[in-house]
Amino acid sequence: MNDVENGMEKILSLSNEELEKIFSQLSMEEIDDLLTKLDEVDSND
Amino acid sequence: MTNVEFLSIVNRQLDLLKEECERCENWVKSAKNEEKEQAEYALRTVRITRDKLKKLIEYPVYERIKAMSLEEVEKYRIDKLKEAEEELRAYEKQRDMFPDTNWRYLEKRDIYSRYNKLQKTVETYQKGTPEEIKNMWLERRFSSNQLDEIKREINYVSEYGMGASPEFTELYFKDFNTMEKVDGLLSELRYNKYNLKKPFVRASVWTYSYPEGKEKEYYMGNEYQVESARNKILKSEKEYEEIMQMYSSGILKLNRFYNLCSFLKSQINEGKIDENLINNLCKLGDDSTYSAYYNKEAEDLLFRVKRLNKNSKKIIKTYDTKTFIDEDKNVIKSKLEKMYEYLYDENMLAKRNKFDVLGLQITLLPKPFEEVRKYGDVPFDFSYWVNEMNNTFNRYRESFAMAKEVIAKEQEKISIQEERYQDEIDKNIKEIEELVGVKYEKLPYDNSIGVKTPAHHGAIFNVQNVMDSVKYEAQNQADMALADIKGISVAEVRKQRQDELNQMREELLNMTESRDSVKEEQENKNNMIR
Repeated sequence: MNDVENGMEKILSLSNEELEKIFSQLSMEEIDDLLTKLDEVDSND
Repeated sequence: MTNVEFLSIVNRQLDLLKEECERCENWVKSAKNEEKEQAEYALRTVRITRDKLKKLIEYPVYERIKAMSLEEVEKYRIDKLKEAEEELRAYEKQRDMFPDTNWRYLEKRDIYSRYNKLQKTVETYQKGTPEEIKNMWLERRFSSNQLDEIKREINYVSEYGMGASPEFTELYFKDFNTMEKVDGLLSELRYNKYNLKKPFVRASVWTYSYPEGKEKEYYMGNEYQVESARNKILKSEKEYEEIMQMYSSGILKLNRFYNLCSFLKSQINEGKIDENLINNLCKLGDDSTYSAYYNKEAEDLLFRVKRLNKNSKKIIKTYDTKTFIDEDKNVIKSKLEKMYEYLYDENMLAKRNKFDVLGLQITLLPKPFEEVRKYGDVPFDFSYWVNEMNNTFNRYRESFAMAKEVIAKEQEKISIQEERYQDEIDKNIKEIEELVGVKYEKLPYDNSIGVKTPAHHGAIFNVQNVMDSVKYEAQNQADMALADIKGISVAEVRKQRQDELNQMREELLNMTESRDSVKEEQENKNNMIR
């Protein structure tokens, strides 16, 4: 779980403004990849 | 944090959480009794973490898609369509290569399903207008209910922070069953000297490690556990710092070498570089020393960064000194230029994305690097290496000059010995001439007769050997020429000469005998007179 914790901490340390800025700069290709990734982790639990 | 870094972390997190969910699901299936409860608790925690991450991402994604311009969507639609059509054609080509009976095999390899997906993609992007595509994108992931839920969640998180979101605190408090104490603990973690802003992650380190129901006992009864959790946190932070420091140092080294190559390139282009410099630089490169040093560091760095982020790409390029040796200047020049280009690209890549750390094995370095290893790192200054090399060359030059002097002295000694030796031969001949009363004509030299020499210094024998071989060769040439003139074989010439020599030797012997007999006769006469 250490890897998860490290990664989560990095994401959580971002402010809303920072998150917004990052997402506003993502290309469609990157958004597409991200949506595909989210589809992959979806489960029926 | 850059976009690339962010996406890399998110992708990695989603992968890890998926793996962790699967692991916990298996654990729940195999666990029994008390352990089962523990496994279920772990599974719940991981699922909550995963869903939170998904929610955190989904809302901005939704906002981003909403904000997309129709031109942007249209451009993407065209690119995507082209890409999908190309891939589809490749699949169709591949499909045509396989007989129908092999589709089962292809299905197993997911080729068939990928083919079907591509067909649908092409169909969608061919038919859809940009607006339809945009709606399709929004619907792809977000139903209206989901969106409301996401918004609610985001607002809550914005207001209270992730660690305080209702699901999490509920779970957390329920499991500890002591709200005040857990709250106190969270505060302690948050505001303590460790200055942890987000207790969510940190706290889970430790609740996750102990059997469910035992946390209270551990927390209340054993301060050691709290200390242990703190140490664990400190340790991981320290490790992270170390990795970042190593990374910076790796980049620094990379930059230094990049500067070296840049300098080399400019020197080559300006024609300033000494022609021999590159050759010697390549030949003097002590790759075993440097690569052993650098590789270890690079591998260590890669290993640690890989642990930090399994998605990091491992790029190691090897430039071996050996490949440069014995090649002409132009080949070396072109290789250096390629290396320069490579370093330039990789350097940029490394700057862009911290986690795509690269290890470089560079062996194009002069020998004095051993000294650097011995005394620690020194600034990678090209002039330093040039000076070092010049010193080395000068040392070689001095040694060579000294060696030449020694050889000259030895040669002088040999000449003196040679003269002395010749003097002795002349002296002996003169003595014989006086005794015999006949002028001695020097015979052609023949190894079979040889010249009886007194036991001289070893050098004389060496000189004699050289003289012998030269003379012998001259004799051979003479024999061959004579054989040619006379029209007989060389063997016959040698035989004739041998006969002549034998005859002369006999005559000389007779003369000596007659001299002795004359001397004896004279002595007898003298005796008789006396």
